[in-house]
Amino acid sequence: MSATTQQLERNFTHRFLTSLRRMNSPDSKTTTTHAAGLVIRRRSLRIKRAAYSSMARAAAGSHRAWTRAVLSRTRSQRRRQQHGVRPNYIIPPSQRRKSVKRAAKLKKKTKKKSVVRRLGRAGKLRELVPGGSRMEMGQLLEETAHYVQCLAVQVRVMQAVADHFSSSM
Amino acid sequence: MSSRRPASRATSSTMSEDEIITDLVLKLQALLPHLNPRQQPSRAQASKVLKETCSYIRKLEKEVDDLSGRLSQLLGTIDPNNQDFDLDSIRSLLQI
Repeated sequence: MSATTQQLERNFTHRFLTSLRRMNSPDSKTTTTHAAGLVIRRRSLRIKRAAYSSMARAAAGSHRAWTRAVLSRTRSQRRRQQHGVRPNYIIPPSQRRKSVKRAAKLKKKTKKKSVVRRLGRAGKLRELVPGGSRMEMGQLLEETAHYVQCLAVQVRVMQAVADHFSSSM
Repeated sequence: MSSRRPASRATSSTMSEDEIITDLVLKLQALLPHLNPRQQPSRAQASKVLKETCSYIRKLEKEVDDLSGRLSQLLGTIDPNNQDFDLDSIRSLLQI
C-alpha cells in the first residue's frame, strides 16, 4: 500500500470512528421489535452518510470535484432525514413498499434511455461518479479513478471496523 | 443537480471524445484490480473497461450499504463502554 493510501486510510478511519462514537446509543429505549428495526434502519443511513462524508473529507486534500459533490449530497440527505417524511399522504405499510418500488422502477426506466442518448458512452459512469454529469470527459476519468480508489479504502476500513466490533462481543 | 450540457460540447476541439476515452481508460485499467491490462487500446477495450468500472463502483457502493446495516446492528448491541473506539482499535485495523 502506498504512503498516500495509508495516510488516507488513517485519516478516514479516524473521522469515521469519531462519527460512530457520536452515534453510539444502545437500544434500551425501544420496546417493540418494529421500533428497534426502525432505529437500526435509520442509524444505518446515518452510518452510510458518515462513511461517505468522512471519506470525502479525508480525500479532500486532492481538491476533487467528487468530494464536493458527496459533501453537498450528504448535507441535503441529513436535512431530509431531520425533517422527516411529509405526512400528507399516508400509505398503509403493506402497500408502501410496492408503490415505492413501482415508482422507483418507472423513474429508473424513463431516466436511463435519455441519459445514455444524451451523454454518450460514459453516460452510466457519469451517473455513478458524484458530480460526474458536470465534468468534461478527461476530468471524469481522472475523478473516477480517484473515487474508485477511495471507495475501496472506505469498504476495506468499514469491513475491518465491523469485524472488530463483532469479535469484541 | 445535473447539468444539461451534452458531453460532445464539453470536450476539447483537438481530440475527439473517443481518443480521450481510449487514452485515459488505460489509466483506469491500471487502477482497477481485476481487469487484465496489456491489451491494445481500442474502442471495444475502452467500452469494456468503462462497463467494468461501472459494475465495480456499483459493487463497492452496495458493500457500503451492507456494511452500514451491519454496523448499525452491531452498534445497537455492544459498547456501553467507549473502549472500542480508541487509538488501539485504529492501530489494529490498519494492520489488516
